[in-house]
Amino acid sequence: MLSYLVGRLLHALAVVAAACALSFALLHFAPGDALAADTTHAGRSAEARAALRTRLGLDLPVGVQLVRYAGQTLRGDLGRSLVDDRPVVVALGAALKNSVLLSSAALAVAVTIGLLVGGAQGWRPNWRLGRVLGAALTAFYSIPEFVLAIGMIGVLSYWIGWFPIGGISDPIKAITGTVSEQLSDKIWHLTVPALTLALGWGAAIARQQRVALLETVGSDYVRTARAKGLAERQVLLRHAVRPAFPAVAVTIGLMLPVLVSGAVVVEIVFAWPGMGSLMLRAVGQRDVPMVSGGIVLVAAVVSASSLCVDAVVRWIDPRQR
Amino acid sequence: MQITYPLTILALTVTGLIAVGCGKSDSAQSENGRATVLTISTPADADALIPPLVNTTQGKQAVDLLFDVLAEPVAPIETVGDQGFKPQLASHWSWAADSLSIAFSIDPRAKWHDGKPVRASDVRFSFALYTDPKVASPHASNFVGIDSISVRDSLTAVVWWHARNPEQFFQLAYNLAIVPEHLLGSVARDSLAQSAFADHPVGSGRYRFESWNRQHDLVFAADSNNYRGKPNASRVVWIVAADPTAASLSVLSGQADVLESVRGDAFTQARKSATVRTAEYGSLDYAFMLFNVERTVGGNRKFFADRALRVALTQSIDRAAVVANALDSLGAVALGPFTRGTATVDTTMRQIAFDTLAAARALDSLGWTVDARDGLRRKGGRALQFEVLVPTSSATRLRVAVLLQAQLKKIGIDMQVAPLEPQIFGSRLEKGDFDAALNMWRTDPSPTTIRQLWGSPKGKEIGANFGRYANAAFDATLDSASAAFDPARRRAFFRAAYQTIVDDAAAIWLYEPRNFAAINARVHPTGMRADAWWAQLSNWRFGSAEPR
Repeated sequence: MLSYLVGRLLHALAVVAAACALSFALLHFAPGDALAADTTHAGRSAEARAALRTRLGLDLPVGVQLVRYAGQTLRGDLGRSLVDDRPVVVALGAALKNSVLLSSAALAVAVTIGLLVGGAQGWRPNWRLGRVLGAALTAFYSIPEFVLAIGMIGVLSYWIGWFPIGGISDPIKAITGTVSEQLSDKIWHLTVPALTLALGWGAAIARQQRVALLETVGSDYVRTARAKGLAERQVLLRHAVRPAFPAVAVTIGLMLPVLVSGAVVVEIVFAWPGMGSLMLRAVGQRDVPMVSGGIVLVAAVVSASSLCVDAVVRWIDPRQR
Repeated sequence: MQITYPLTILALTVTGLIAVGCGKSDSAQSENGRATVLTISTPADADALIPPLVNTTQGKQAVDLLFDVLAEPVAPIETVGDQGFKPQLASHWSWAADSLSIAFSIDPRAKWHDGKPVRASDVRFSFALYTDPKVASPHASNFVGIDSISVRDSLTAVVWWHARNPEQFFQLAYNLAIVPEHLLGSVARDSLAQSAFADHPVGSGRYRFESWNRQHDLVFAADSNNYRGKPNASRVVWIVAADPTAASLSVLSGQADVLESVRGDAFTQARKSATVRTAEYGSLDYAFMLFNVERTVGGNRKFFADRALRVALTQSIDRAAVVANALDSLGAVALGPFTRGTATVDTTMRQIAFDTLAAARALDSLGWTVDARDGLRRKGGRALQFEVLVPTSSATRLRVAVLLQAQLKKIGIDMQVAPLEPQIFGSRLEKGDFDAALNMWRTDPSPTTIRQLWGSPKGKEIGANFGRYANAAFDATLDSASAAFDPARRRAFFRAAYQTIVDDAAAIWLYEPRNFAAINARVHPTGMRADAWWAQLSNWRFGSAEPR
């Protein structure tokens, strides 16, 4: 097991380094840069832009910039944004916190919904409510995320008016509110975007759970467990759900990268300042250090989560060892 | 059935969340003090809060409330002399007999938000900051005519010019925001954005900084003891909402008070809403088809340098129809390289009319004759075709491009539309790597800044004249206009300059958008200037919704 983990770790490091180098090179070879002339209003003169390029080292050959960047990164310094001169680590830290909050809340709801609905469908295939819920989840899954997001805002925030239209918190309450007010305000702002993400993710988990459970329910060992006179709950939890879980765990594991990479569409529509919207903006602005830093972070987490999922699956399912 | 137990928990959780939401919604609306908080929905965050570093409208909005200038323009802005200005940080000023210097007396009551008094040395320091190459301020070029600023005494700053010019007062007073020397003096000039001040700026304006949660919200609070009086809104909050649908819904639902620009369905809904008013303010934006006169197109060297061809292209376009189709009533046909909000505008100017017969005759005489096989015009076997770049960030320009393509096709011209991501669009314009482009420009209140786009290039220095347009007659008339002190003469010169460039068909002047802000009906805006709708935001009143 140890040699397996060491091998996977080295593989993960190689993936992170390759992703970083590739993104750095791709962004440099793309036309335009962060200091391109503004075509809509007067801005920096050509001389001022040239001076700034020299100061930021953008006039150096791409190879030199890449080596310099790699050295910085190994020292834990991801550089500064070319757009607002902020340390990349600070910007990524703030965005990451928001993305993790949104995605983890969404994932928690999605796993709950998915396991319950999928479990009900798999355990009792003819149960009418289970089928209705499954169909509803599939419908949500098939709706494009931006349509669902706007629809959720339209219904829950605009027409009914129960929830805010966007943002992570009320700015005034963040200044003047008590801790409990701020906490409930966060939950209030979190509810609709998290639910929007959770409906789609929950459908994916439910489908996986249903298929996996249908397989195990029809197996000999479940029939034997019943024949032994075990209670239905014991049969379900001990003999049906556990063998079905590895497949579901893989599905959930595939969603883990979104915890750090951010859900771009939902973050944009709900004005949620997370990793997704940060990276999208940074790519548009050719903010190379910001994009590269984000990719290093996301690649590291994707690799780590992949490693964790594999380890968990090997631990749960002896057949994988 | 065992399954129903966890489902019941799920149902209760969802119900609980909804209950939290219901409770919050009510309490948020009824909180005391919220009535005078002004919440602005903005499509992007401020780029910086140190005036010399600001390069976006959002940043300008913020620093204009936080920092003062020496004198404040009154609408409509008159850029000649000081008649169009009223005191702000300077309580009064006096001109030297030769007009080469102006002594500004700082209002002795003015204080920074940290309690320190504002001094004349702050004015000198601010100028030094804006013009220091290490700062690389996008505004540095506004001060090229200023030689230096000296301090006569602690409350008197004397500004010295190299030579007198009609707009010298405007150039200084409009563009130089005064920043505190005692807080920024020790910060390295090339790392201003990394300073503590960048995150917690201290100004002397009627609003003071309160908090900045980047990419989410920016909060300013009223400076109760400000020397210019306490502003009406207790707080101003900018909330970033990049998605236009969500932004408009936030104003329509009352969760935000101001959306600076509403278009399409959102405009219709705002007009119908009982809780939202629409307020029109002037526009300094105009869109045009830019020709690259240096470009070889389809083997034809300097293709667009031929005035007759440019005129024929302009005659081929029914600009009124294009504007009506693309913008409905939310736009007007552009008159030239200026807008109806420009101080020197003349709406009676002669225009190149839509006349496809005249265009066809002109193209025939230029040798571009219609090929019966496909209806395209050809000369020497080569089709009359060119490519126009359009930034994908502008839905309106993308629509306009399609309409232009259809109209030009009718006369036998093949215009290829190339939608480009904005950074690539900008990069290609800067390099001159384009045939034509649908560009948009926000003019400065000073009409002399037309030179940046349309003044003849001087060597490799093109400014924003990406099409490398050159017209000596236009340059000369513009020089005369810029040097004229008499308002009537100045206006006449500008009119002549405008007519020269319009007659020369330097570009196809397409449209200028009409600006409508959606504003909560309890807010009563005032003094929304074309260059800065937020200029008088401190004086916006709050009250009950008036009949609309």
